[in-house]
Amino acid sequence: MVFNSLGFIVFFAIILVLYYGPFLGWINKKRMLLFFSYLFYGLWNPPLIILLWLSTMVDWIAGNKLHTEENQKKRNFWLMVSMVVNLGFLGFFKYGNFLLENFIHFVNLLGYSYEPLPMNIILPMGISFYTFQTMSYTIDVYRRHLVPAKTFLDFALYVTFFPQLVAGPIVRAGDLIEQFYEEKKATINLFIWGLFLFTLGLFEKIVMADTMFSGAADAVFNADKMLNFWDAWAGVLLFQHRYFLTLQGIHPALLVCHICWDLS
Amino acid sequence: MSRIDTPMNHRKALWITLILSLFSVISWEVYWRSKGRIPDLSDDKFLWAEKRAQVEDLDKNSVVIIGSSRVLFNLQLPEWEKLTGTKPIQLATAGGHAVPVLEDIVKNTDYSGTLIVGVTPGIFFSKPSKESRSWGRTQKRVDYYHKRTYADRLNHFLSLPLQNNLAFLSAAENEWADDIDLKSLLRATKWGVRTGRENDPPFNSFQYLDIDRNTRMSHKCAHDTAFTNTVKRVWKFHNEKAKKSPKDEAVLYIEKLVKKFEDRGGNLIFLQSPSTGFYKEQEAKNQPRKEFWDVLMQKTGVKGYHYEDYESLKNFDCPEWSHLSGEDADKFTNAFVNILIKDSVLPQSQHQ
Repeated sequence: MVFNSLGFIVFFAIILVLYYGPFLGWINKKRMLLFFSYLFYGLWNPPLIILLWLSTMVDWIAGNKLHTEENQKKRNFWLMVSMVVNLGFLGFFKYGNFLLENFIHFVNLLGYSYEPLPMNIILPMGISFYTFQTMSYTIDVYRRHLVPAKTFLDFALYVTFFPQLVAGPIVRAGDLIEQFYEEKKATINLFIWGLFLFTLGLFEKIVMADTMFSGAADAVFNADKMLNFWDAWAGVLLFQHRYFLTLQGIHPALLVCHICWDLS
Repeated sequence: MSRIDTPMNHRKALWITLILSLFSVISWEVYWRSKGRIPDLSDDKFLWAEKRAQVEDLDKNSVVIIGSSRVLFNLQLPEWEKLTGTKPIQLATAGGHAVPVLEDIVKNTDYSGTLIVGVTPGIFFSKPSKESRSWGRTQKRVDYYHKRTYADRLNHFLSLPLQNNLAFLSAAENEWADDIDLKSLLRATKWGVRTGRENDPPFNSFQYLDIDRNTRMSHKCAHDTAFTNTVKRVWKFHNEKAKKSPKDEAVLYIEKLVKKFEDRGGNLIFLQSPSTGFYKEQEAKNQPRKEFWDVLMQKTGVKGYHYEDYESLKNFDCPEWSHLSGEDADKFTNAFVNILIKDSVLPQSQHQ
């Protein structure tokens, strides 16, 4: 699910009602946020939630072992388990095709003809963000800069919290997990400020980046002949602004979600 | 976050924003309605994919229509349903090639009901190439169907009430010159010729579409000759220099797909709808019947209906040379279905 969609507005409204309504206690609110975070991810491609679960489970176990274990060799082993699993997933899904193509080129250069079946690897949304986020947790515990999360729920929410799941930013565990321990409620002013930022973000993304700049930028980059100086530079600047505004537009969307739960 | 808790009156700002937003939206809607615009659904890949998904669950008594705009305009689903009790699934795409959908249905589904394949000669007999615009237009929809997410489906579902009630959201995948969403309004603004090539004549929307993708020519196109001429200018601009289609290439490509569909018990029927004026002349020159339609019939060996062969199908006038008006489309559908019933080519359950 993307932030600039009708589905997200409905999804967000439901979460706010459940969160601020008198229905749930703090633990259940966190469970609700976790459930909706998985739903947010699963509405894109349900089976890929399994990767997210695996990554969460591995780092939860590794984090606890690293905290209790005193034997350095065993500690190194658990750190390696986390690195291999996380970077393995990332390498396979994100760079699998790239590595395969390079391997084929290399083999062909040596004079061998090699044509493997196409792998058609699908890139799981946000895999870099949650991979590095879970790894940062394990590394911080390994370096004794962090004690493990108090509960699995807090840790799973840290990994999966939907506002930052698919587009970051990558947050260090120490900056976020502890904020889940106590109930959070935004003031009305914070809440309204968040809505303003969200509107601004939507404007930047939908009106400026996707509507005003994308057509002209695409026309320049798809041009089939040499362009003059002004057209070429106009295209480059429009393209650059389009991406800047896309990121800028998403940022307030993330911020508003944090503001609505008064997270910093 | 404490800096956000400033003395600024957030509540008042929120109320002012809400009131201004509501006022702006209502004014914008009233403005476009005063210009004669009405809310309509967008003929896009999202709605197309909804219909395509229904093919997965169809039985042998069902009917699916594929092809280009002629079967989209000329076969009226309510009329078909009235006569047979079955509402066909409309999967034709304006300006799109039939084959990518035929290929998709044959290879990716078990569907073995009736498949009406519209033949618009200029498109249907063009070289079967994934690079061509007409092929790409349909292939894009097929590809989208196979990779659409649950979030996409939810977004489209939520957009339908808005599309049905707000005229200012009127926009289409075809990018009509008279679309009124922001992107189209910007596109319509002339900044001088930067691309060095002649500007296309404005191509205005000339149809309305409903939730079943049943498409009817607008009253304006059928009766306002000045408007009809704008559409004719577009047809001429794009097709005047059209060359003769390559012989046999399309038929050879289609033949295998047709055979596979028929072998599993499918009932495939070709239909060539009427054309007049410029298009009739172009088709006579570039896709002469003897070399194309007749060869298609002979090579595939399936049922085919050419409008010229039937008294009840041949006396229609196409206001803009290519499609029938809404009223004529009702009559054409009626006549065509009656021929199918008379020839017993529809499943028995549809012979009411």
